[in-house]
Amino acid sequence: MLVTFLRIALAGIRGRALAALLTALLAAVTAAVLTLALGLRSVADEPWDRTFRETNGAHLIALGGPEVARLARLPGVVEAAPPVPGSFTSFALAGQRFALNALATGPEPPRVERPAVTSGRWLTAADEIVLEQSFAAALGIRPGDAVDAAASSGRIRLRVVGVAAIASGAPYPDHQPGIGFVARDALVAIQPDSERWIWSQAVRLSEPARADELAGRARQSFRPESRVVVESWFERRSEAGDRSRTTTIVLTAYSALLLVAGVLVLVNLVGGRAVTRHREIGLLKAVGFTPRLVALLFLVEQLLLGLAGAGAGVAGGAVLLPLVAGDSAALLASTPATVTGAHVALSIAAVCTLMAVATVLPTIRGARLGVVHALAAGRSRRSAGAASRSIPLGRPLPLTLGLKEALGRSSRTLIAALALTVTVAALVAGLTFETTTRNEANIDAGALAAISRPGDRAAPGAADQLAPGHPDPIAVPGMSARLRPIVHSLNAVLVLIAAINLLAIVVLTVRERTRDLAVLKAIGLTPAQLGRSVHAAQTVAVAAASALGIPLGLALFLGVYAIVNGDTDRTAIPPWWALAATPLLLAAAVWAITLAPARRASQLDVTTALSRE
Amino acid sequence: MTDPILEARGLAKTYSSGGVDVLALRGVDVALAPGEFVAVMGPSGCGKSTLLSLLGGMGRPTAGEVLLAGVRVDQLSETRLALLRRRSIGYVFQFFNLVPTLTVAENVELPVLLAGGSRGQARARREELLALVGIERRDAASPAQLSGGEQQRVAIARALAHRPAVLLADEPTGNLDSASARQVVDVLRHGRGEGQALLLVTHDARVAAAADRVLTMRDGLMVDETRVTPPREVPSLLELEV
Repeated sequence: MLVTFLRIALAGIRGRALAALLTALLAAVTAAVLTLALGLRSVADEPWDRTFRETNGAHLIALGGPEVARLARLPGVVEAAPPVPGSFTSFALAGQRFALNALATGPEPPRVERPAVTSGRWLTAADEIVLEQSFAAALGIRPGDAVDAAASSGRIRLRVVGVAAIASGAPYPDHQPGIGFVARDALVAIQPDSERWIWSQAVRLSEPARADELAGRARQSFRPESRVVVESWFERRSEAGDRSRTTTIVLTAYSALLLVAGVLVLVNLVGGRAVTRHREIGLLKAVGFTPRLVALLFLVEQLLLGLAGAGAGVAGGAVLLPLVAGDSAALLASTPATVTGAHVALSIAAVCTLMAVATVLPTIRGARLGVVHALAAGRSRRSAGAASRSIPLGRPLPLTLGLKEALGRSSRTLIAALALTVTVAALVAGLTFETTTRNEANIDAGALAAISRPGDRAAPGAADQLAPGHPDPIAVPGMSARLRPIVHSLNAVLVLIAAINLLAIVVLTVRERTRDLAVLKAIGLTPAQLGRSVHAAQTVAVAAASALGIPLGLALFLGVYAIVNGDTDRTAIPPWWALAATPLLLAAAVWAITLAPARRASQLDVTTALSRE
Repeated sequence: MTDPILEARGLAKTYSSGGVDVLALRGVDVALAPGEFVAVMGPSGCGKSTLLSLLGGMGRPTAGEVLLAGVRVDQLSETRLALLRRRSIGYVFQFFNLVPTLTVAENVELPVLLAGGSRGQARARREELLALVGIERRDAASPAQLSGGEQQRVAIARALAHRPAVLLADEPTGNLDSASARQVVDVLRHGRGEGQALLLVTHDARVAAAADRVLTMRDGLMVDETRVTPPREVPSLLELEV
């Protein structure tokens, strides 16, 4: 029985290949978007704490001379790694010198404050270096590159073999100099005089909540002239939180936008399935299916498609997540986001649950009808509602017919309009962000230069210990400039989602309208007019998205900016022509997306289309 | 016989279904004079609807030719065929096929607007036709709000709206009760006085009896032709019904 049932379900899928493909595609897009949104949210969700956990971060760190090793003997310490020596040096890149804090962790990363490799591998040889990821990202250095670090003998070539995350204070360039992990031999080459090394001792405590109290006690235990600095994990987290606040707000806003986009795709999916299958129900009941069996059959059919689509979507989301969230993780100096089992389960469950609801409810309604009524209901279609009637039939006929069609399918048009509105709002926010970034750059020209603040790992006076080739001061790009690639890549994702959603809506609509389009063709609409009527049906969504999306985008950006900066004095609204061009570009994009379905509509065979019942 | 307004010569149509060729029409000749009413009968699947769709320019024959007013039309482009339909051909479907997002009035006005008429002309023609088919008070209704008979009458009003030279009707009474069927046939015959030719596919012998000629098809071939006594001399069976 089960095998027969599955065979019938699979035959049903094969029999409606296009509809099945669209359903699976929408399920895949929904699952991918949900996976991305959840992943992005997890990047923004306490990035420092996550990195701290994954790197077995230190509750206390002492920086200074070799005596910092005494920190490991402090009461309450439960875990300590051997002290790590380091030295400041610099290297040249693109005509500029950059300071580097070379920490000689060696081939075995320390147990505490253990760097988490995010790309490449850990170092194994004396001529290799692993760079901290926000430093590598800011300088555009990847595994496989090489840096020539200043050394006592001139310089030493170090091959970058990996990039790693650590739970330091603020990410580079707020925290300078950048950090690199090298072998002891490389450190000796950079600074042979071990008296000039800076040692760091990282420990974990049995009572982390008492870290500040123990840090004070530790400071008292070192002689004042030793110039040892002791920092608790609370101080580092506080500094990291201040620096990453903007990034987390932006990422949270985008994960919310992605969730909205995902929900809209889901609603579209539900709407697509809500197309009543009364006629099929009638046919099945006529051959002996009970209402329960009909519902079960449709449910199995949809769940097969949903599982296949959602599985592919989650896999796609997992592939996309590092591309979309990679920059964010680097900017937050956190470990990269990964798709967790919970994300996978949540995405697939959300898609399958809604597909089940979307299938079962109309099926139950349909199954209550008698066979004859169900067969007849399968032929009935929408009626000219009030919104559709408000548009008088007139010339140009393709436009008015398209508008009437769009308003006759108000729920689907609403979904299309909302999906486009979200995308337009995100794009306008991105445009305003870009304009504001330039405005900030103009305001800050000259003022942003010359920030060279030794990092919190440097002992007082550490700047004096810089190796030959002291770097020039490094300009710290504004946060807006650093967020630019993240904002633009997330906007690209939203555009992609909106395009797929819109395409699915138009394809579904054309498919459902096949008979109506054939009738229009039969009474004299030319193929070109049919195509134009399909394009025209999207005018409502484009107009609504333009009218709502532009002010919403401006408000979204100004709102986020005000939350981040406290005021909007430095913001700049995009020029009027850029905003005026938005609806035109949107219309052109929608026209391009609708091209293939419109062409399909214009070329349909009237006899074949009308013979379908 | 006067020159035919619509003519088919050696019309053949082959459909390919699941890799198997199905011969729907196997060389059919038919001619329709202006003002003539011809009924086509035959069992299901004999090719009646296929013949009608080819004559209406809604499909292309595999062989043979279709001439409208002496001009060959089966090789015209899709666009030229559409222009031809909006000028010269009216089509009535078995399942009404009204545009669901248009009101009754708009469904009837659409062909007039398509043919180049003004909105005023379209409105006047719609009022005339809806009065003719007896549902002038339902002009603001949606097709879904009408009964089957009412929908079919609107569909006929739509087919007549642009005063086509040829009216093609595919089982227009197939889904209707006797009373509605009688009204529908009466309306379909309305344009004959203006020289409008009517080709009607039907299973109903009573409907066919109202025609000037009855053609019988079987297995894609025209197998019989019967000339019916002119209705002006003998009242049609429909008119004799209570």
